[in-house]
Amino acid sequence: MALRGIQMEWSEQTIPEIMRAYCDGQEWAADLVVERLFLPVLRYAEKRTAQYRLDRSHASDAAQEAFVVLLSKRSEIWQGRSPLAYLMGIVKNVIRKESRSRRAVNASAGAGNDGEPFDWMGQVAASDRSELTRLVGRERAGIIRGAFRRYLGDIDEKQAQVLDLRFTGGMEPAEIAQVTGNTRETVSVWVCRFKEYFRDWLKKNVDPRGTKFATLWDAWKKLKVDS
Amino acid sequence: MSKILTGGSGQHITAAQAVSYVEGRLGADEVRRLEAHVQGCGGCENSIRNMRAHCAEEDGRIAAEWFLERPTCPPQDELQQYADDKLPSQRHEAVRLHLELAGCEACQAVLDAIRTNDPQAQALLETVKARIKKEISTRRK
Repeated sequence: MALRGIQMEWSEQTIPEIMRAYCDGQEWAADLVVERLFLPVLRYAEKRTAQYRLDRSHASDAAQEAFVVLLSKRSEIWQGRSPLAYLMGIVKNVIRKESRSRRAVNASAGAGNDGEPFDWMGQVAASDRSELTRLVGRERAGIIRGAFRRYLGDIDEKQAQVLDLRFTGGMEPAEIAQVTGNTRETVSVWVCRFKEYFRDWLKKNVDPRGTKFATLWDAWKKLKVDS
Repeated sequence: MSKILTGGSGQHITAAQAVSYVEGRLGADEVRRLEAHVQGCGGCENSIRNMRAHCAEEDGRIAAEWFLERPTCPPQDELQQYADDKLPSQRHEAVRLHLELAGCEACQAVLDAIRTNDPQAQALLETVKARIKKEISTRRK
């Protein structure tokens, strides 16, 4: 009964708090994580399987696999980032792999290639997504969100919306200008300002040596020689 | 990436101009002049292409972190209010843009789960919890 009381109390807590409880060894917190997040993850998986023209049963399998990965490796993998985003990343990769293996089978059987839906985020390999967390360390993973939130807290809603459309939506500056009513130049300046801020923040807070961020900055330094 | 030379009978674009062009910070006249030059200059065309790839990779990396942090995503209770049409109009519009234009998949998934009364999925939850626990203990061995 006492345990049930604790569980009911925890059901009002935020997902990061519940994840922390789970990482601290509170096994019952796993049930809460599944209860709170399984349905959104399943819905997302269903959309992905439809995009890749896979059978719907793959959605449930992919969603379950995502939770198994998240919960079996605890803090090793989760590292304080958004669990929902992390779960969706796993689902996306599981479904993409399934789609590719099916296409490989179909190709060898002489069937046509259905092609993958366009994925703007797909330019960055799944393994690279955790590079920044690896750089700052698990205990400090929250500082990345802090950096974003700090910047967003200092700008107005119009600029925040532009950044949202660029980095969540992957829209080009010209498209963003069209839908928000700003000029293309204004949109570009706002996006560039944020990127400068993020580069500066990374340089102050992260040791990027040997990483792809470092490679990008070295190239950037060479490019800016003439400016 | 090599440094772009300036001067001579053909004025090549500088690295700074290439950056500004790719980032969309040049005015319309400057864009026209630059594009007219690039059409006839393989070296500058190559530099622009490299610069585009460089910027796209950086943006992709930032977007990957943005995806994991979801800094502009509304909290779940706000999505519930959005589903119930109880948000103030300005905030409703901001959430709508985030869902429909930015196309945030995480928030769309949460909203779908809020809106869909799926008894089958609900019933599946208990089976899923048990299955996940079994799988976790197997993998930990």
